[in-house]
Amino acid sequence: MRTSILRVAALAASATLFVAGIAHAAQPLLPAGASDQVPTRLSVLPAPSGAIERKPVAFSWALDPDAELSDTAPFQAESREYWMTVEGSELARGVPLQMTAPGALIRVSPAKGSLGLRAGDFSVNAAGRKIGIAQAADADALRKAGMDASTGTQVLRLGDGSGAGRHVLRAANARGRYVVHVFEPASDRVLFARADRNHALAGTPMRVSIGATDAGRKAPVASQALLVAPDGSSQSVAVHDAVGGGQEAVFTVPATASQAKGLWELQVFGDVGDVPRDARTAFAVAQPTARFSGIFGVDAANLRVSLPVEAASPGRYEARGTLYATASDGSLRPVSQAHAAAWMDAGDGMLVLQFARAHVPAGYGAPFEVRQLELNDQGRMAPIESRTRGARF
Amino acid sequence: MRKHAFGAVLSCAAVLTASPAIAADVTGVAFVHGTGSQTNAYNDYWQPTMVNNVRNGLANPANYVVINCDFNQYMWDSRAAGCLAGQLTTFINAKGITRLIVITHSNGGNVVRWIMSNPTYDSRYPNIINKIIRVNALAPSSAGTPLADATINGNVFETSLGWLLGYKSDAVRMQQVSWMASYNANNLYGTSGRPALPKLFRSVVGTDVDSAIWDADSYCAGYVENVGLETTQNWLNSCSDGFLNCSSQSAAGSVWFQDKTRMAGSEPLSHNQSRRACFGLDTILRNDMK
Repeated sequence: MRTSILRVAALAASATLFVAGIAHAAQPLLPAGASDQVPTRLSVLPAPSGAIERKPVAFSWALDPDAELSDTAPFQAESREYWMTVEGSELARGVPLQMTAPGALIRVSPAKGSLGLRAGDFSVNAAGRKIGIAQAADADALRKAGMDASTGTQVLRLGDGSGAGRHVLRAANARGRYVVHVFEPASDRVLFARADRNHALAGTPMRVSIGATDAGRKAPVASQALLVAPDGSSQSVAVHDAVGGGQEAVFTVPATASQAKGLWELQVFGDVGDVPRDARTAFAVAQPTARFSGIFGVDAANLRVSLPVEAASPGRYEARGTLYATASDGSLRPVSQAHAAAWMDAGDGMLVLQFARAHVPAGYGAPFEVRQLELNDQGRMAPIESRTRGARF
Repeated sequence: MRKHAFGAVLSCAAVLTASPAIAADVTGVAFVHGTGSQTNAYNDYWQPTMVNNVRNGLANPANYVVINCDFNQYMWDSRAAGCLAGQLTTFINAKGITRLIVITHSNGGNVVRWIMSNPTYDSRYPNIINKIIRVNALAPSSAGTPLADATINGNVFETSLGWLLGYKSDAVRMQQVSWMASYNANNLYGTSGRPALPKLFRSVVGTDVDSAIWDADSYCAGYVENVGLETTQNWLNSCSDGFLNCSSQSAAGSVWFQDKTRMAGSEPLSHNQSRRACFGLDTILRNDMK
């Protein structure tokens, strides 16, 4: 607490100079909420590579004050599928596949150099009975439909006689290695995985909740998990039983996180009863290359909000925020969205959100709040800082 | 020094409601393809009948551009949104376009939505956004597709076996359902609870696939393609165009119409048919060139 007070005081003092160009007293940003992401350390990285805009750009547009805005809940992955890798000799002898419902899709993809198989090469049996194939498609048909299936892929949809229980997939002429993908669209056995946030900073903890249902009721699940970086590197993550049921993976995103563009995934491999289920959930990870300095300057008459930025790494940084204005009933409603971005070298910088007076409908006015205040590293495609409530004036 | 730099900021304030056309306005249309690297999208992706029927609804039918970019990349990539921004800027400047109607198909909607959601990412974006009066997004993959997840085909164990699947494009990776959920939450606007896009983004939603061999309607845009869509539909919900769930097509902006409500004979539009002159779609788009 003492540190925070001293820090705000020091920032406010330095801000008098820093925001002198706009000749308005600096104020502290609103205190960060529990779900906000605010860097507590900064990373020094080289300038990002690639074609990155160098000109400062600002833009704003009007929002409908009657349109409700809300935080987007993290995505919940649901799985009715699993994968396995098999040798051709295993497939020739027969690969057991556990099913829970009729009409499963079985996709077999050969490794490079392995023999591609046709629909007629396969047989499926269950309890000594031959199972019908209701539909088949090869890689060419899938590609024509927009699904970029690998060469030699074959999809079978099981038909008459299929259902819950052990099935055996066999292709007598299989040679090489294959990936077998089983997807049961009609299954009631579902694995879930959901991260606690949509984005995180490198070096900070995350939690992914894992659960399962069987016919809509909670079911026990035993799972393992891998944290996979955008560059494909991975590390195993411990999974524990959670209080109140289900499981959870609690882990720390590596501080020296991959700089490859793309998202991180937690890949979950579970057994729901006697059937495997695999699920993946994705989230963004940012290196804390910069942060808001913790204060802002405001020209209330012109709805101009200046945000000092502390940049530890050169890059193109963007501030964005939603202006809420007070309606006649006293409620705060969203009226304008503003973004501002500029290239910064390491050191102090400033981004200015210029909301337009014309965006404030008649009958709306002060007090204003800037909500969903965010700082993004555009060159590294990463959300660095986000505050549900950023500034009030 | 910094103060001077900010004095030169490219600043624009957009007004949400597009103003009606006046005599001095020049209206143009841009056709933005979906996933893939196109060099002749006019012939290969849209085909001439679709493009020509639609542009004939313009006061000057010469005011059109068919985009050819590499949409195998992430939407923000210089070869994707950067290429699109370059071609749109050239078109706007060359033709003096003041009102731009954008027609996208599939992942093309995400690339345009990237531009409209991230106006400061590229100094060309604000002028493009200011010229756009609306985006007619044909079957946009706004919430991704389970088929992208399926195409990745497995987890790190399988994908690390480089021998198996070869390279999957960043665009496919990006359109996995959980990835699009993250991009919609962090980087894109227009989905539920998020701020609205600066300009109207409205979708045409394909709800089903017909591939009956006796039904001539199944042959529009290619019978074989529609047969493949019947198979891929197994990965999807009961309401889908064979490649995208209706929920994905409806996830961003507003729904202009669902196929059966406007197509001749109440036909559905499969994912391949929603970029072709099938069942009067071209006529509806032509009549919208105002």
